[in-house]
Amino acid sequence: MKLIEIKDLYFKYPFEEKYVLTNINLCIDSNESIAILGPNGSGKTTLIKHLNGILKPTKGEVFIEGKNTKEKSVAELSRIVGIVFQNPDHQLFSNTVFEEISFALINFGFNKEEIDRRVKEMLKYFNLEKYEQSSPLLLSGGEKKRVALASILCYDPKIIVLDEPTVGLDYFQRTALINIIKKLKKEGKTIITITHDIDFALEVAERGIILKDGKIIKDDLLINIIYEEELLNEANLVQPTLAKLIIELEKSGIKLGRNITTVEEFIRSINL
Amino acid sequence: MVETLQQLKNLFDRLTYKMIRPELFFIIKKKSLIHNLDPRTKLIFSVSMLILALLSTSLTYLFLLFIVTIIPLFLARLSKELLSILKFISLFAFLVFFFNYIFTFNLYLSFAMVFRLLVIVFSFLVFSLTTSPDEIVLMLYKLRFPFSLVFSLSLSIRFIPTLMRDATNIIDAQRSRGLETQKGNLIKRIKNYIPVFIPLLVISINRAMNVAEAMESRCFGAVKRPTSFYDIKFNKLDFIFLFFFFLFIFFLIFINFIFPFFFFKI
Repeated sequence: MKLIEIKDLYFKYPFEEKYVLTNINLCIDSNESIAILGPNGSGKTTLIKHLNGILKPTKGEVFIEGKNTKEKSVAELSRIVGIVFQNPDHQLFSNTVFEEISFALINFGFNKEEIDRRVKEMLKYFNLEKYEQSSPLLLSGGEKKRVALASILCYDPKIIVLDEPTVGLDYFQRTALINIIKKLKKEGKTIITITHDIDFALEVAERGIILKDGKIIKDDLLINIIYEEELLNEANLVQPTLAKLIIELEKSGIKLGRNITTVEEFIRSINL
Repeated sequence: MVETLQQLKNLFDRLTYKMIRPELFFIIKKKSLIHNLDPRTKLIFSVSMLILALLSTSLTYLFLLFIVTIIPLFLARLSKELLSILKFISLFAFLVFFFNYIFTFNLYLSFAMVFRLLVIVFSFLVFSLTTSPDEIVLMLYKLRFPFSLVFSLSLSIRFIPTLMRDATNIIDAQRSRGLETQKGNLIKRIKNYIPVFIPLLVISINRAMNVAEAMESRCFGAVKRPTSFYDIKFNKLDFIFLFFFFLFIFFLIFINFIFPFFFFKI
């Protein structure tokens, strides 16, 4: 049984003519890490909203752990699929960070000791302990993002979906986020990331899905995708400098092989 | 039974979806004589019709007014919309008829009251369905309303769709965290919306501050009466329209003199 299975998904908003998603077929196994790439308005966010049933397919079906999303409530599906939305301001509302993180736990009916334990654990995990009693609305952008992420991770969903997690983060916060995602991957989570930043995608994901105008135009390993310049241009993505360099070197006769993703690997292959 | 409930729910969703779509409150853009009229002309028409509708309770009189009110809507090529609006207010019309009949047992009066309702609603629609928010703002400005007031009105209209998009995003985010708005008794259900209202409020205040700063950095408030890029002017069409409208009013006054009590007979 696949963890996520999307069959011939078509979606349009009610009372509108145009389909936002057309003919999406997708299978995702557990412990995969996936980056969904594509230009603005290509339907990325609409697609992930189908994973926990916020949106139901107009045509076709979405199965999460073999359960049809049409038959399950959003709350039930959210236990399996945790979605962290792009803008943390869209969900922070409590008086304290502690309350904010415990919101989902209360909704899912955890008992008091368990809530206390999990929230404390999350605060430690995200390095937010000193903010436990401060207002989430007064935190900085990066801290807000971490609170939003913690408020989803606290109930331990199997699948974690991140919508544009790098927007508005500085270099250090971005690196910290990459480390968190890598750690989660090691813990056996399935991670789906929406991003424009292909360098970030390379760090956190193996498989890339490129959406354009509501269609999947490519579903392949990221390491293959970064060498397809035309495809990347079509999807408004910037080719990583390393990939560009390797292609240029190939043109002048130096073959390094196309499985290099980091600068360290590149230097090592030159030394050979 | 379940199917009927589902159908009812669908109908309700459809209605509320339509009601919260701001484009149905406001202009339906089409090319027509009425759309080209000066908003002040249309305002004169709408307000006069409103006053005229309140003057008498005669069925003939109100029916005549009704016919005159829907002529501009037909000229504006809104006959299709007219039908859907009629459907929408038929419930209110029925209630008006029902209560008038219960209290007076007068069939003529009850029908007259229904037509009065229709005249009031449609005369308002002649104005609102054919005038863009920009035109309304420009009109208020020309009528010497203070600029800051007029501008904030236009801003608040412009931000309705943005606010609705935010609200949808917030509801989606909170539902993903296990919020179920349809659970519990009435008070519980209202409380369920707290996680939606607070972020919405915070975002709106933040946005208002940002907009204010952006406006100030572009010299808003530098002069008392700023010029405007677009202009509204009375042209030939307005005079022709108003000529016919005043002709109609004179006709009413004339009838009233020749046959007194014609319009006031119940």
